[in-house]
Amino acid sequence: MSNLSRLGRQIQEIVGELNSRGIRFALIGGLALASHKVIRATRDVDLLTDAHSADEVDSLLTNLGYQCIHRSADAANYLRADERIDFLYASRPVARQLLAAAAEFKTPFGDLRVISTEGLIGFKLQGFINDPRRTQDLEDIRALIKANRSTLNISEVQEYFLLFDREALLREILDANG
Amino acid sequence: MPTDSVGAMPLVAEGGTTITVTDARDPYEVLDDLMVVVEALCPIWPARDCITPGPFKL
Repeated sequence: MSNLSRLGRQIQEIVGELNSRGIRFALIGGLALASHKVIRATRDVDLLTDAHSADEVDSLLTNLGYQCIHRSADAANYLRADERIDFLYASRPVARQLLAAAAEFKTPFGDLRVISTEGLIGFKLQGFINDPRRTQDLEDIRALIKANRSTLNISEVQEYFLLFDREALLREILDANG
Repeated sequence: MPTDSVGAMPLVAEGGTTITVTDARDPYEVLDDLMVVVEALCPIWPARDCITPGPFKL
C-alpha cells in the first residue's frame, strides 16, 4: 500500500495493530467525516476506545514509537515526530453505546469501525464546548447536518445539544439548513 | 464561509476545504487522494493542541 498518503499509512499501521489485538475502537474526529458524506483535509487521527483498553493502547503505541504527551481518565495524546494520534476513552454509557454501535467499513486503510453520524456530531460538539477556539468542529457539525439532513436522527442530535446546554445553537444550524 | 465552494478556499491544516461526497468512489480513497496533494503542499503538518481537560459528558 505504498501509494497511500503518509496519513493513510499511519492509519493503516495503527488500525492493523488494534485489529490484530482485538481492541475495539471507532474512528471519530475529522477522518470519520468521510463515512458521513463529508470529506476535508485533516491530519488528526482521533479514535474512541473503551477506557479499559487504555493501558493496552498505551503499550501498543509505545511499541510503535509514539510518545505519550498527555493522558487522563478521559483522553490521551500521542506523538511520533509530527504524527499525532488522540484517543478518547469511553467510560460513560453514551460513549460506550456509540462505540458498541459503530459500523464497520472496509477501506484502503484497513477495516475501520466508524461512529454514527449523530455520535460524531455529539463528539464534535463536545470538542467545541471544551475549546471554543476549535471552530472547525462547529463547521464540521454544520456540514454533517447539511449532508445528512434527510437521514439524521434529529432526536438523538437534540439530546447531545441538550446535554451541553446548546439547544439554541442547534436551532440556529437547523434553521440555516432550511 | 460556504463549505462547498471548493475552489475558493485554501488547502491548509484545519482551515481546509470541505467536500460533500457526490460520486460512487470509496470516500476514504477520495480522502487519501486529497491528502496526497495536501501533504505535497504541506510536508510538515502544524502541531496540534492537546485535548483540553473537559467537560467530557459523552
